[in-house]
Amino acid sequence: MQVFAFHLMPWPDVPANFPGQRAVTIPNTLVDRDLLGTLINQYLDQLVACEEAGLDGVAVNEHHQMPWGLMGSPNLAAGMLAMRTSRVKILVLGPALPLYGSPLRVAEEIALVDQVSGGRVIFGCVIGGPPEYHVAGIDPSEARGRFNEALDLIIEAWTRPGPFEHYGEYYKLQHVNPWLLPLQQPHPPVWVPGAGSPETIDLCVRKGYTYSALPFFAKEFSDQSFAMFRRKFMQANGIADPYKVSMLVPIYVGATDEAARQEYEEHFFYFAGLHGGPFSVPGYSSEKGVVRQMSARPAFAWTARNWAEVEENSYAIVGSPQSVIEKLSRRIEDTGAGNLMCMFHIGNLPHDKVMASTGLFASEVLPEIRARFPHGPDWPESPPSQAEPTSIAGGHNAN
Amino acid sequence: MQTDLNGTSYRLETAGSGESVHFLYLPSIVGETRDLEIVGELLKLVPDGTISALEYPGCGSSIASSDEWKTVHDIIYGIGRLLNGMTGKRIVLIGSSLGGWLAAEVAAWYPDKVDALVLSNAFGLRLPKFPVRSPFFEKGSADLDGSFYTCANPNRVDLAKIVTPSIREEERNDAYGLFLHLLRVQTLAARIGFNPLMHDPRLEMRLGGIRCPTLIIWGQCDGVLAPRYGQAFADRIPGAQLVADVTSGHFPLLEEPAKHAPAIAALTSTIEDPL
Repeated sequence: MQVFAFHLMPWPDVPANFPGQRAVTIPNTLVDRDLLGTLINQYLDQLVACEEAGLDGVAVNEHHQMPWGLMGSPNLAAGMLAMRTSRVKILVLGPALPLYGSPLRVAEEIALVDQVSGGRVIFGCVIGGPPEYHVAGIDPSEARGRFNEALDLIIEAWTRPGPFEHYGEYYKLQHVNPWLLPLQQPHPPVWVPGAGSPETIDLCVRKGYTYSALPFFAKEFSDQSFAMFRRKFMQANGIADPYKVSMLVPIYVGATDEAARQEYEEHFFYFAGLHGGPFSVPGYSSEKGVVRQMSARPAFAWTARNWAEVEENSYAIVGSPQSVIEKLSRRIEDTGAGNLMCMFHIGNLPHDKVMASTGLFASEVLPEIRARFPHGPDWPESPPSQAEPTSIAGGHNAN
Repeated sequence: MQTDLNGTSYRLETAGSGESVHFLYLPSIVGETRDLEIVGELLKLVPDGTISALEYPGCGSSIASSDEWKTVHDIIYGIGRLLNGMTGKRIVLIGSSLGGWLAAEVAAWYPDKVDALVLSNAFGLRLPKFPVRSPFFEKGSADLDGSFYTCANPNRVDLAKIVTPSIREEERNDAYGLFLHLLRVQTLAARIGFNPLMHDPRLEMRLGGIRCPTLIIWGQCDGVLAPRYGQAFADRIPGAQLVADVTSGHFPLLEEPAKHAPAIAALTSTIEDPL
């Protein structure tokens, strides 16, 4: 297994009954500017600590104008992590490509981080969530088209000698010739997150990108998405490769099951309360994708009414080290994911608890998970005699 | 009825067969084209007329792909071409809501093609002091809730019932049929009106070029567009007549078709006969 620590970097102090939307228009007067720097540095500390703890990588993402996630520039955050670490992979998951003026800006920034980190970047890129389209004012019906074209252009900018012209539907650039090129060749591995849309799964299978399934959906829906990817991957390639799949899950490890729940539960529900629209962006998803998501309602982490539902749907994996090992092992087997992204911080979980949980995870859980899945999990679709998977997250042959 | 223009198939829901007047109805943001009471009311008053409601590409039962209309210029061009092919001595363009914006654009760009214009709670302008309530925010995407009304509107109609005949036949009984129908129209609206929000910054300066008799019908209980927008259109279109409907919301032509049909019919008599 390849194990990463992922951080949403939320704002920890939104009043419980604050009215209105939880994104885009929730007023920024709720932010305490004097605390913001300390908070973000603390979040970075939590990620940096994971290197010494023995994890394989750290991950950051992008959100705007919402307490759910403060990090508006994952490329900058990745740069900060590059300066503070020396071994771990740095997964940028990732710049919302349609929201950047020119994809070349992303190409250069990621290349910069890859160079200064000694070739440790994993290039994750996203379409961006619906609220981000309200923030950026980009036509949501262009979301997927822009994303696909931008991603192809970035890969081409990294691999094709310049200068050359790019004349696409959304980007028309006469001179593509970046001098800031990544260290990894032909380019850093590419991961693409998805919320179950068939289009993202098809893209990953077609291009050999790692599919990073978004969390917070009910287990049944998530498992269908993972199964869809595995099936299509097998059809296209004939062999399984668990390192082409990533799963993300909030994890908290306590001394006992009871202690873990007691320490974590309120922070989980604070986090769940941060979720809330606007998610109306017509054209953002294909009709097939939107009907699929609607049919899964209301089964999301933020609709969980009690702890039993959290456990039942695996919205978070919480417990003693042994409990976490067992629950995590089952999820790894269910999903077929060879990449595990652990979200140790959630909502307003205090720093000391995050560090304690991370420490317990590193010392008690991680070794056992690695022992149980030395080459990632088997896929139910693959024959038992299949040779070891060939791609490892971060390796040049990963894409 | 299907009209093929330059490789694009436009589908028109047509009633009547008279040639004296041809009304082209451009639907609102809920994409209504079939079984409309306003059509029946107009044909009673103009029995020698024809009324066609345009299925926007990618919407309703349209055959044309949604890719046909990516910018407002595509739409103006497409509707302009449609008008060229329409029979009838007089062409009356009726636009409601989203359709009102498109009708205003077409009348401004092609003043010679439009003999009379009817706008009802039309998008298309921006008044900084009167923000438009976004049809894309909150849960506005496909929910026909109270967002289109500002008051306890006694004329509030069952929009779902009005729109249902316009849903594609094969989807009409599906659990998500209405949702998908509205999503398609919303997607078209977002293509041209996500940002800047539901207006064309260049339209205002062109409205003065509209030369035909113009009737503006404005529901005063509209939760999306303030009454001031009706006045704004009337101020900018030469000779325009404003009718303020104090009990209607965003869709007066759907909410009070019998009340407004006579004024629309009367408008046709003000059109100068072509020489």
